[in-house]
Amino acid sequence: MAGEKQGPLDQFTIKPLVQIDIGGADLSFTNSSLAMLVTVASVSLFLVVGMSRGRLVPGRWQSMAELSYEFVAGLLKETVGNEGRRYFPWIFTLFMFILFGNLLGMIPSAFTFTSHIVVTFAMALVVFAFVTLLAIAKHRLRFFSFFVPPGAPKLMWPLLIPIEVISYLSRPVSLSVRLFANMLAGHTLLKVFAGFVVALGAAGVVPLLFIVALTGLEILIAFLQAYVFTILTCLYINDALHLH
Amino acid sequence: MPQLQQIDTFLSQVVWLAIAFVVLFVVLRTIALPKIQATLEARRDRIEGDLDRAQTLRQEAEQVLAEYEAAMAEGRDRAQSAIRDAVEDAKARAAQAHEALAGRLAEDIRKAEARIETARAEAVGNIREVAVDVVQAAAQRLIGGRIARKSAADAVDAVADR
Repeated sequence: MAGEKQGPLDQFTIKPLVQIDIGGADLSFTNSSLAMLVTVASVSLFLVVGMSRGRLVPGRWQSMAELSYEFVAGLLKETVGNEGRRYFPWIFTLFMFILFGNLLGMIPSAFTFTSHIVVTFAMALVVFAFVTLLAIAKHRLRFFSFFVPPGAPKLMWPLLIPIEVISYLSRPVSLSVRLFANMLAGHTLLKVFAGFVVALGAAGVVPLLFIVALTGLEILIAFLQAYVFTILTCLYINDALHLH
Repeated sequence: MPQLQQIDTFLSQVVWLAIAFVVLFVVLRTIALPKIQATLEARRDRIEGDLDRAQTLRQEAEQVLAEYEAAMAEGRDRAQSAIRDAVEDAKARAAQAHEALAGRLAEDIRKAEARIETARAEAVGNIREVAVDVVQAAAQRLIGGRIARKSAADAVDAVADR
Protein backbone atom coordinates (compact mmCIF):
# COMPACT_ATOMS: atom_id res chain seq x y z
CA MET A 1 0.00 0.00 0.00
CA ALA A 2 2.87 2.36 0.69
CA GLY A 3 4.53 4.35 -2.04
CA GLU A 4 3.91 7.49 -4.02
CA LYS A 5 0.19 6.82 -4.33
CA GLN A 6 -1.83 7.48 -1.13
CA GLY A 7 -3.22 4.18 0.16
CA PRO A 8 -5.90 3.65 2.80
CA LEU A 9 -3.22 2.75 5.35
CA ASP A 10 -0.97 5.77 4.75
CA GLN A 11 -3.05 7.79 7.17
CA PHE A 12 -1.51 5.77 9.98
CA THR A 13 2.07 6.67 9.08
CA ILE A 14 4.05 8.24 11.91
CA LYS A 15 5.74 11.42 10.68
CA PRO A 16 8.34 13.10 12.85
CA LEU A 17 7.64 16.80 13.27
CA VAL A 18 10.57 17.64 15.58
CA GLN A 19 13.56 15.33 15.69
CA ILE A 20 14.50 14.59 19.29
CA ASP A 21 17.31 12.19 20.09
CA ILE A 22 18.21 11.49 23.70
CA GLY A 23 21.10 9.15 24.30
CA GLY A 24 20.57 7.43 20.97
CA ALA A 25 16.87 6.86 21.65
CA ASP A 26 14.52 8.35 19.07
CA LEU A 27 11.97 10.40 21.05
CA SER A 28 10.89 12.57 18.15
CA PHE A 29 7.81 14.71 18.47
CA THR A 30 5.55 13.20 15.81
CA ASN A 31 2.06 13.66 14.40
CA SER A 32 1.01 11.06 16.98
CA SER A 33 2.53 13.11 19.82
CA LEU A 34 0.79 16.19 18.45
CA ALA A 35 -2.55 14.39 18.40
CA MET A 36 -2.00 13.33 22.02
CA LEU A 37 -1.20 16.87 23.14
CA VAL A 38 -4.21 18.22 21.22
CA THR A 39 -6.31 15.62 23.01
CA VAL A 40 -4.90 16.68 26.39
CA ALA A 41 -5.59 20.33 25.56
CA SER A 42 -9.11 19.57 24.32
CA VAL A 43 -10.08 17.53 27.38
CA SER A 44 -8.63 20.19 29.68
CA LEU A 45 -10.44 22.99 27.85
CA PHE A 46 -13.66 21.02 27.72
CA LEU A 47 -13.67 20.44 31.46
CA VAL A 48 -11.93 23.53 32.84
CA VAL A 49 -13.65 26.11 30.65
CA GLY A 50 -16.94 24.23 30.81
CA MET A 51 -16.85 24.30 34.60
CA SER A 52 -15.28 27.76 34.93
CA ARG A 53 -18.55 29.40 35.99
CA GLY A 54 -19.59 26.43 38.09
CA ARG A 55 -23.18 27.55 38.00
CA LEU A 56 -25.86 25.95 40.12
CA VAL A 57 -28.08 25.55 37.08
CA PRO A 58 -25.66 24.42 34.40
CA GLY A 59 -25.63 25.56 30.80
CA ARG A 60 -25.16 23.12 27.93
CA TRP A 61 -21.38 23.01 28.09
CA GLN A 62 -21.28 22.65 31.85
CA SER A 63 -23.95 19.95 31.61
CA MET A 64 -21.76 17.96 29.23
CA ALA A 65 -18.73 18.31 31.49
CA GLU A 66 -20.78 17.21 34.52
CA LEU A 67 -22.36 14.43 32.48
CA SER A 68 -18.96 12.98 31.58
CA TYR A 69 -17.98 13.09 35.24
CA GLU A 70 -21.18 11.45 36.43
CA PHE A 71 -21.06 8.90 33.63
CA VAL A 72 -17.62 7.63 34.66
CA ALA A 73 -18.44 7.91 38.37
CA GLY A 74 -21.60 5.85 37.82
CA LEU A 75 -19.67 3.31 35.80
CA LEU A 76 -17.07 2.91 38.52
CA LYS A 77 -19.70 2.71 41.28
CA GLU A 78 -21.69 0.07 39.41
CA THR A 79 -18.75 -2.17 38.64
CA VAL A 80 -16.48 -1.71 41.66
CA GLY A 81 -18.65 -0.06 44.30
CA ASN A 82 -17.55 2.56 46.78
CA GLU A 83 -14.05 1.10 47.11
CA GLY A 84 -13.46 2.17 43.52
CA ARG A 85 -13.63 5.88 44.32
CA ARG A 86 -9.90 5.97 45.03
CA TYR A 87 -9.18 5.09 41.40
CA PHE A 88 -11.68 7.53 39.94
CA PRO A 89 -9.20 10.20 38.78
CA TRP A 90 -7.21 7.59 36.86
CA ILE A 91 -10.28 5.95 35.32
CA PHE A 92 -11.73 9.32 34.40
CA THR A 93 -8.48 10.44 32.79
CA LEU A 94 -8.29 7.17 30.89
CA PHE A 95 -11.84 7.47 29.60
CA MET A 96 -11.55 11.11 28.55
CA PHE A 97 -8.15 10.54 26.95
CA ILE A 98 -9.34 7.61 24.81
CA LEU A 99 -12.71 9.21 24.04
CA PHE A 100 -11.25 12.51 22.87
CA GLY A 101 -8.41 10.70 21.06
CA ASN A 102 -10.98 8.66 19.15
CA LEU A 103 -13.33 11.57 18.47
CA LEU A 104 -10.62 14.03 17.40
CA GLY A 105 -9.32 11.29 15.07
CA MET A 106 -12.67 11.48 13.27
CA ILE A 107 -11.83 14.98 12.03
CA PRO A 108 -10.72 14.49 8.42
CA SER A 109 -6.93 14.39 8.02
CA ALA A 110 -6.45 14.30 11.79
CA PHE A 111 -4.25 11.58 13.23
CA THR A 112 -5.79 8.89 15.46
CA PHE A 113 -3.20 7.80 18.01
CA THR A 114 -5.52 5.06 19.35
CA SER A 115 -5.21 3.30 15.98
CA HIS A 116 -1.66 2.30 16.91
CA ILE A 117 -1.25 -1.03 18.64
CA VAL A 118 1.78 0.11 20.57
CA VAL A 119 -0.22 2.93 22.17
CA THR A 120 -3.25 0.81 23.08
CA PHE A 121 -1.02 -2.04 24.20
CA ALA A 122 1.01 0.28 26.42
CA MET A 123 -2.19 1.50 28.07
CA ALA A 124 -3.56 -2.03 28.44
CA LEU A 125 -0.26 -3.23 29.86
CA VAL A 126 -0.25 -0.47 32.47
CA VAL A 127 -3.82 -1.36 33.41
CA PHE A 128 -2.89 -5.05 33.58
CA ALA A 129 0.23 -4.43 35.68
CA PHE A 130 -1.63 -2.07 38.01
CA VAL A 131 -4.53 -4.49 38.51
CA THR A 132 -2.23 -7.45 39.10
CA LEU A 133 -0.10 -5.56 41.62
CA LEU A 134 -3.23 -4.29 43.33
CA ALA A 135 -4.57 -7.82 43.66
CA ILE A 136 -1.27 -9.20 45.00
CA ALA A 137 -0.92 -6.30 47.43
CA LYS A 138 -4.42 -6.86 48.73
CA HIS A 139 -4.64 -10.64 48.78
CA ARG A 140 -0.94 -11.78 48.86
CA LEU A 141 -0.78 -15.47 48.00
CA ARG A 142 -4.53 -15.84 48.01
CA PHE A 143 -4.39 -13.96 44.72
CA PHE A 144 -3.48 -17.25 43.02
CA SER A 145 -6.77 -18.76 44.10
CA PHE A 146 -8.21 -16.48 41.41
CA PHE A 147 -7.06 -19.03 38.85
CA VAL A 148 -9.06 -21.81 40.47
CA PRO A 149 -12.71 -21.59 39.46
CA PRO A 150 -14.85 -21.84 42.61
CA GLY A 151 -16.74 -25.10 42.96
CA ALA A 152 -14.75 -26.91 40.27
CA PRO A 153 -13.86 -30.53 41.07
CA LYS A 154 -10.17 -31.09 41.86
CA LEU A 155 -9.96 -33.55 38.99
CA MET A 156 -10.55 -30.68 36.56
CA TRP A 157 -7.90 -28.37 38.04
CA PRO A 158 -5.05 -29.44 35.74
CA LEU A 159 -7.24 -28.44 32.82
CA LEU A 160 -8.96 -25.38 34.27
CA ILE A 161 -6.01 -23.63 35.90
CA PRO A 162 -4.00 -23.27 32.67
CA ILE A 163 -7.10 -22.00 30.91
CA GLU A 164 -7.68 -19.42 33.64
CA VAL A 165 -4.04 -18.34 33.57
CA ILE A 166 -4.03 -17.95 29.80
CA SER A 167 -7.33 -16.10 29.96
CA TYR A 168 -5.88 -13.75 32.58
CA LEU A 169 -2.67 -13.16 30.65
CA SER A 170 -4.56 -12.48 27.43
CA ARG A 171 -6.45 -9.59 29.05
CA PRO A 172 -4.00 -6.86 27.97
CA VAL A 173 -3.91 -8.33 24.47
CA SER A 174 -7.68 -8.40 24.02
CA LEU A 175 -8.06 -5.00 25.69
CA SER A 176 -5.52 -3.35 23.38
CA VAL A 177 -6.36 -5.18 20.17
CA ARG A 178 -10.07 -4.42 20.52
CA LEU A 179 -9.49 -0.65 20.58
CA PHE A 180 -6.70 -0.71 18.01
CA ALA A 181 -8.58 -2.95 15.55
CA ASN A 182 -11.79 -0.94 15.77
CA MET A 183 -9.98 2.32 15.07
CA LEU A 184 -7.87 0.77 12.32
CA ALA A 185 -10.82 -0.88 10.58
CA GLY A 186 -13.07 2.16 10.75
CA HIS A 187 -10.52 4.62 9.43
CA THR A 188 -9.32 2.22 6.73
CA LEU A 189 -12.89 1.61 5.56
CA LEU A 190 -13.55 5.35 5.38
CA LYS A 191 -10.44 5.87 3.24
CA VAL A 192 -11.26 2.93 0.96
CA PHE A 193 -14.70 4.32 0.24
CA ALA A 194 -13.27 7.82 -0.12
CA GLY A 195 -11.10 6.33 -2.90
CA PHE A 196 -14.25 4.99 -4.58
CA VAL A 197 -15.83 8.45 -4.58
CA VAL A 198 -13.00 9.76 -6.75
CA ALA A 199 -12.75 6.65 -8.93
CA LEU A 200 -16.46 6.38 -9.77
CA GLY A 201 -16.93 10.01 -10.85
CA ALA A 202 -20.63 10.93 -10.91
CA ALA A 203 -21.63 7.58 -9.44
CA GLY A 204 -19.37 8.45 -6.52
CA VAL A 205 -22.41 9.90 -4.77
CA VAL A 206 -23.29 6.39 -3.60
CA PRO A 207 -20.04 5.74 -1.68
CA LEU A 208 -20.16 9.36 -0.50
CA LEU A 209 -23.53 8.73 1.15
CA PHE A 210 -22.08 5.55 2.57
CA ILE A 211 -19.19 7.52 4.03
CA VAL A 212 -21.61 9.92 5.69
CA ALA A 213 -23.46 7.03 7.32
CA LEU A 214 -20.21 5.31 8.21
CA THR A 215 -18.88 8.48 9.84
CA GLY A 216 -21.89 8.49 12.13
CA LEU A 217 -21.25 4.87 12.98
CA GLU A 218 -17.57 5.56 13.59
CA ILE A 219 -18.40 8.36 16.03
CA LEU A 220 -20.58 5.88 17.90
CA ILE A 221 -17.72 3.37 17.85
CA ALA A 222 -15.30 6.05 19.07
CA PHE A 223 -17.49 6.49 22.12
CA LEU A 224 -18.25 2.80 22.51
CA GLN A 225 -14.60 1.71 22.45
CA ALA A 226 -13.64 4.32 25.05
CA TYR A 227 -16.53 3.02 27.14
CA VAL A 228 -15.52 -0.63 26.67
CA PHE A 229 -11.88 0.05 27.54
CA THR A 230 -12.97 1.90 30.68
CA ILE A 231 -15.58 -0.58 31.87
CA LEU A 232 -13.18 -3.50 31.37
CA THR A 233 -10.56 -1.64 33.40
CA CYS A 234 -13.17 -1.17 36.12
CA LEU A 235 -14.11 -4.86 36.00
CA TYR A 236 -10.44 -5.83 36.29
CA ILE A 237 -10.11 -3.57 39.34
CA ASN A 238 -13.20 -5.21 40.80
CA ASP A 239 -11.65 -8.66 40.19
CA ALA A 240 -8.44 -7.48 41.84
CA LEU A 241 -10.30 -6.22 44.92
CA HIS A 242 -12.75 -9.09 45.30
CA LEU A 243 -11.10 -11.92 43.38
CA HIS A 244 -14.15 -14.03 42.57
CA MET B 1 0.82 -1.50 7.92
CA PRO B 2 2.66 1.40 9.62
CA GLN B 3 1.50 0.17 13.03
CA LEU B 4 3.71 -2.90 12.68
CA GLN B 5 6.39 -1.57 10.33
CA GLN B 6 7.50 1.64 12.04
CA ILE B 7 8.94 -0.17 15.01
CA ASP B 8 11.55 2.56 15.44
CA THR B 9 8.76 4.99 16.42
CA PHE B 10 7.41 2.77 19.21
CA LEU B 11 9.58 4.28 21.94
CA SER B 12 8.63 7.81 20.92
CA GLN B 13 4.93 6.94 20.89
CA VAL B 14 5.01 5.30 24.31
CA VAL B 15 7.06 8.12 25.86
CA TRP B 16 4.77 10.81 24.47
CA LEU B 17 1.76 8.76 25.52
CA ALA B 18 3.11 8.68 29.07
CA ILE B 19 3.82 12.43 29.02
CA ALA B 20 0.40 13.29 27.60
CA PHE B 21 -1.44 10.99 29.98
CA VAL B 22 0.36 12.25 33.07
CA VAL B 23 -0.13 15.88 32.07
CA LEU B 24 -3.83 15.25 31.53
CA PHE B 25 -4.06 13.41 34.84
CA VAL B 26 -2.43 16.29 36.71
CA VAL B 27 -4.66 18.89 35.05
CA LEU B 28 -7.82 16.93 35.77
CA ARG B 29 -6.76 15.96 39.28
CA THR B 30 -5.75 19.44 40.39
CA ILE B 31 -8.13 21.71 38.47
CA ALA B 32 -11.06 20.07 36.70
CA LEU B 33 -12.18 17.35 39.10
CA PRO B 34 -12.19 19.47 42.30
CA LYS B 35 -14.20 22.10 40.48
CA ILE B 36 -16.75 19.58 39.22
CA GLN B 37 -16.99 17.93 42.61
CA ALA B 38 -17.44 21.27 44.35
CA THR B 39 -20.16 22.28 41.88
CA LEU B 40 -22.03 19.01 42.20
CA GLU B 41 -21.74 19.11 45.97
CA ALA B 42 -22.94 22.70 46.13
CA ARG B 43 -25.92 21.75 44.00
CA ARG B 44 -26.71 18.72 46.14
CA ASP B 45 -26.42 20.80 49.32
CA ARG B 46 -28.62 23.47 47.84
CA ILE B 47 -31.28 20.97 46.83
CA GLU B 48 -31.18 19.28 50.22
CA GLY B 49 -31.33 22.68 51.93
CA ASP B 50 -34.31 23.65 49.82
CA LEU B 51 -36.02 20.38 50.62
CA ASP B 52 -35.34 20.87 54.32
CA ARG B 53 -36.69 24.40 54.19
CA ALA B 54 -39.76 23.22 52.30
CA GLN B 55 -40.28 20.57 54.97
CA THR B 56 -39.95 23.16 57.74
CA LEU B 57 -42.34 25.51 55.98
CA ARG B 58 -44.82 22.72 55.51
CA GLN B 59 -44.70 21.88 59.20
CA GLU B 60 -45.17 25.54 60.04
CA ALA B 61 -48.13 25.74 57.69
CA GLU B 62 -49.66 22.67 59.27
CA GLN B 63 -49.16 24.19 62.71
CA VAL B 64 -50.76 27.44 61.61
CA LEU B 65 -53.66 25.50 60.12
CA ALA B 66 -54.12 23.59 63.37
CA GLU B 67 -54.03 26.86 65.33
CA TYR B 68 -56.52 28.40 62.94
CA GLU B 69 -58.86 25.45 63.32
CA ALA B 70 -58.55 25.57 67.10
CA ALA B 71 -59.32 29.31 67.05
CA MET B 72 -62.26 28.65 64.76
CA ALA B 73 -63.60 25.95 67.08
CA GLU B 74 -63.15 28.19 70.10
CA GLY B 75 -64.89 31.07 68.32
CA ARG B 76 -67.74 28.81 67.36
CA ASP B 77 -68.07 27.62 70.94
CA ARG B 78 -68.05 31.15 72.24
CA ALA B 79 -70.62 32.25 69.70
CA GLN B 80 -72.83 29.29 70.65
CA SER B 81 -72.62 30.10 74.34
CA ALA B 82 -73.22 33.78 73.67
CA ILE B 83 -76.32 32.89 71.68
CA ARG B 84 -77.46 30.55 74.43
CA ASP B 85 -76.91 33.22 77.08
CA ALA B 86 -78.74 35.80 75.05
CA VAL B 87 -81.66 33.46 74.47
CA GLU B 88 -81.84 32.58 78.16
CA ASP B 89 -81.56 36.22 79.14
CA ALA B 90 -84.32 37.15 76.74
CA LYS B 91 -86.49 34.31 78.00
CA ALA B 92 -85.90 35.36 81.60
CA ARG B 93 -86.70 38.95 80.83
CA ALA B 94 -89.80 37.95 78.90
CA ALA B 95 -90.91 35.79 81.82
CA GLN B 96 -90.23 38.65 84.21
CA ALA B 97 -92.14 41.10 82.09
CA HIS B 98 -94.94 38.59 81.73
CA GLU B 99 -95.06 38.11 85.50
CA ALA B 100 -95.03 41.85 86.17
CA LEU B 101 -97.83 42.38 83.68
CA ALA B 102 -99.81 39.51 85.12
CA GLY B 103 -99.33 40.96 88.62
CA ARG B 104 -100.44 44.42 87.49
CA LEU B 105 -103.45 43.00 85.74
CA ALA B 106 -104.36 40.90 88.80
CA GLU B 107 -104.06 44.05 90.91
CA ASP B 108 -106.27 45.96 88.50
CA ILE B 109 -108.78 43.11 88.51
CA ARG B 110 -108.71 42.98 92.26
CA LYS B 111 -109.17 46.79 92.53
CA ALA B 112 -111.98 46.68 90.01
CA GLU B 113 -113.67 43.84 91.88
CA ALA B 114 -113.28 45.77 95.14
CA ARG B 115 -114.77 48.80 93.46
CA ILE B 116 -117.63 46.73 92.14
CA GLU B 117 -118.11 45.19 95.61
CA THR B 118 -118.14 48.62 97.20
CA ALA B 119 -120.55 49.88 94.60
CA ARG B 120 -122.76 46.81 95.04
CA ALA B 121 -122.69 47.15 98.88
CA GLU B 122 -123.47 50.82 98.51
CA ALA B 123 -126.26 50.05 96.12
CA VAL B 124 -127.61 47.35 98.44
CA GLY B 125 -127.33 49.80 101.38
CA ASN B 126 -129.21 52.45 99.43
CA ILE B 127 -131.90 49.94 98.46
CA ARG B 128 -132.34 49.05 102.17
CA GLU B 129 -132.72 52.72 103.08
CA VAL B 130 -135.24 53.14 100.32
CA ALA B 131 -137.00 49.94 101.38
CA VAL B 132 -137.14 51.17 104.98
CA ASP B 133 -138.53 54.50 103.76
CA VAL B 134 -141.04 52.62 101.60
CA VAL B 135 -142.04 50.44 104.59
CA GLN B 136 -142.52 53.53 106.82
CA ALA B 137 -144.51 55.25 104.14
CA ALA B 138 -146.59 52.15 103.42
CA ALA B 139 -147.23 51.55 107.12
CA GLN B 140 -148.34 55.22 107.54
CA ARG B 141 -150.80 54.84 104.75
CA LEU B 142 -152.10 51.56 106.06
CA ILE B 143 -152.26 52.22 109.76
CA GLY B 144 -152.18 55.92 109.69
CA GLY B 145 -149.46 56.26 112.21
CA ARG B 146 -145.77 56.33 111.97
CA ILE B 147 -143.78 53.25 112.86
CA ALA B 148 -140.36 53.40 114.30
CA ARG B 149 -137.67 53.48 111.83
CA LYS B 150 -136.02 50.63 113.74
CA SER B 151 -139.01 48.35 113.30
CA ALA B 152 -139.19 49.15 109.64
CA ALA B 153 -135.53 48.33 109.26
CA ASP B 154 -135.99 45.04 111.09
CA ALA B 155 -138.88 44.13 108.87
CA VAL B 156 -136.87 44.91 105.72
CA ASP B 157 -133.93 42.88 106.95
CA ALA B 158 -136.19 39.94 107.76
CA VAL B 159 -137.58 39.95 104.25
CA ALA B 160 -134.22 40.61 102.57
CA ASP B 161 -132.48 37.76 104.38
CA ARG B 162 -135.03 35.25 103.27
